[in-house]
Amino acid sequence: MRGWHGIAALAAAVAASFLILASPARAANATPEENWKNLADALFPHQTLTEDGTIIKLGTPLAAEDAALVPVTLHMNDTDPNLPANDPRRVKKITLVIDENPSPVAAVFELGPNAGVTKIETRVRVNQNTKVHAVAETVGGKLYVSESFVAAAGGCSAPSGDTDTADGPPLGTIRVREIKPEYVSNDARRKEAVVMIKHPNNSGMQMDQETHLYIPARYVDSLRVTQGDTLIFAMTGGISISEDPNFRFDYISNGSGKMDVTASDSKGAKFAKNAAIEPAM
Amino acid sequence: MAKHLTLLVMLALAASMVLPRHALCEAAAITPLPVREIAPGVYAHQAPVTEMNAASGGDIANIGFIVGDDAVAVIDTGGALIIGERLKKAIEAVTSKPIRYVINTHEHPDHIFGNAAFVAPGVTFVGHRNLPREMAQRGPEYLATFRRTMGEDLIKGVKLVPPTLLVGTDKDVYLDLGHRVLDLRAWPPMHTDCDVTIFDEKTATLFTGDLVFLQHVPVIDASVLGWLKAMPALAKIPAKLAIPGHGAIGVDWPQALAAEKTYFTKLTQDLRGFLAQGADINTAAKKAAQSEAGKWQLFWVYNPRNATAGYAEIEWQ
Ligand SMILES: [Zn+2]
Repeated sequence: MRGWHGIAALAAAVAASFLILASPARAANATPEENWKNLADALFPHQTLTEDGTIIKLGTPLAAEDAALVPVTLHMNDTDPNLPANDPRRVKKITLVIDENPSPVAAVFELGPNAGVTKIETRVRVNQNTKVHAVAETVGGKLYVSESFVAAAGGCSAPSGDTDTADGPPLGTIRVREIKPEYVSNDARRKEAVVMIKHPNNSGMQMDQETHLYIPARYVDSLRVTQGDTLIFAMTGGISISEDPNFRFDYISNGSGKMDVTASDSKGAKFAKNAAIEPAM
Repeated sequence: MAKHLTLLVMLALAASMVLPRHALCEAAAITPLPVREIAPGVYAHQAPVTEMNAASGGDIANIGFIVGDDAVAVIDTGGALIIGERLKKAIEAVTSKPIRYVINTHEHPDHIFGNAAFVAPGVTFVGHRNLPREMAQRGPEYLATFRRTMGEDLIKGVKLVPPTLLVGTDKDVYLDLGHRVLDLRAWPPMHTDCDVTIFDEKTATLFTGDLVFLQHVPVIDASVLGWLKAMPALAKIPAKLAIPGHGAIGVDWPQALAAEKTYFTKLTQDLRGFLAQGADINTAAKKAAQSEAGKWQLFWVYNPRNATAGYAEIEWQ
């Protein structure tokens, strides 16, 4: 089981990096509409993208309060949260695209077939005013899209906040925190949690303070969250995910009070924790 | 004050008598920035509390200069080249001593876009050790952003001039202007990653840069926890009067810190409360520190951003 997932994750990572590389260079004078059409043609060739808010709904603020830290929420099947694993309408994969960013594919999420995830909230960098797209693939093989617009400036090169401070947990620290039940749902098995990873997620445009050279991108390129053998979700990431990657999601709990989180970054570092779920703060 | 106004009138009269008409027009285009002598030899300009745009013309940050027996130190240069040029006129109206140092209190455009007005032989630019990095990293984005919001006319001619004399957080740098020593201190991440304060020992006057906001809601671009943590050390600077980066100038020290300390305390308390409840970052951004709203100008412009960044910072505690 684990091995299979490993291969799947590897394949997904390869596919994702291929997609990132394959993203067409943005034509300087392309309109946002043309830019999205080019991206969609490259990422989902010969496929029809349908809008249906009951399958996938993307939430972003209209204007970024902090361009280096823009909350993005994905809602999947939220009118039917408990679809069986093989239901054709069940979302199994979501691609998050920030059209005008230097590397538009921010993340690809794979959802566990039995985890019941209907919401993932994360934080991204937004480099300039941009359309944002979430494209969901269902078990039935159909693609659905939800679009949003964010006004922002300068998120990709904003320096990481704490380059100077020695305080704070070391790189790769993983924490899992539970959200109080009244914020979740009346389904007692449905829980909500936050997975946090301490990582600068350097966007590759950041300048080293000593050498004044740009820091090569070092970012969390894969993340896998499970309970026992049950996949909750996996992510292959790009450089648009904010510093200290943060994922808040709902899921059907197995009641163990623990969560397995494994992550790796683009420099090959591996981080893993069988984390006790910290009670709500 | 009266003395240099008279001087200005005399200069203007002299110019109108001597200079040909076209030269007068050029000279008249740059009017000296109004400054106030806060303490003997310490001058500051109080800018309006507003935003960087075409209407404000980049005049939104308090800037100033200190005159020693031998030389002058400039503290910040304003948010447009013309503001730097007008500050230079104000200096020339007060003294003929040479400008030896231009100190940037931090990286923000409203404090450094006038730098190019002071580039000349014998002038050394001074700033936090991190300032060159920050300028290189964020400078192009700043120029692009403010070209849009302020217009090409105000941005053309703006150059980001990085400091060559650097202040590290380990050790203060002392600048001697001739019987007048300035104590420059670099701070850990607070308002930004590159904050420097300037303390004039002779008159016990402190230029705080944006480590102090009055009337204008504080803007947190580095660390609210760092700011709160460093505040006792900041308060210990033995100043009598302070010139904050924004708001009223020549205010009592350390009382000037009280308002922003209350704001930071309320903001962090609220954020902790929202995190404890399980509220998400958007909710926190909309609701944190609301009880402070009536006390500050530009609250709705910057408080949501402060709350967003603060939520992510406090979440790790
Ligand atoms: Zn500032």
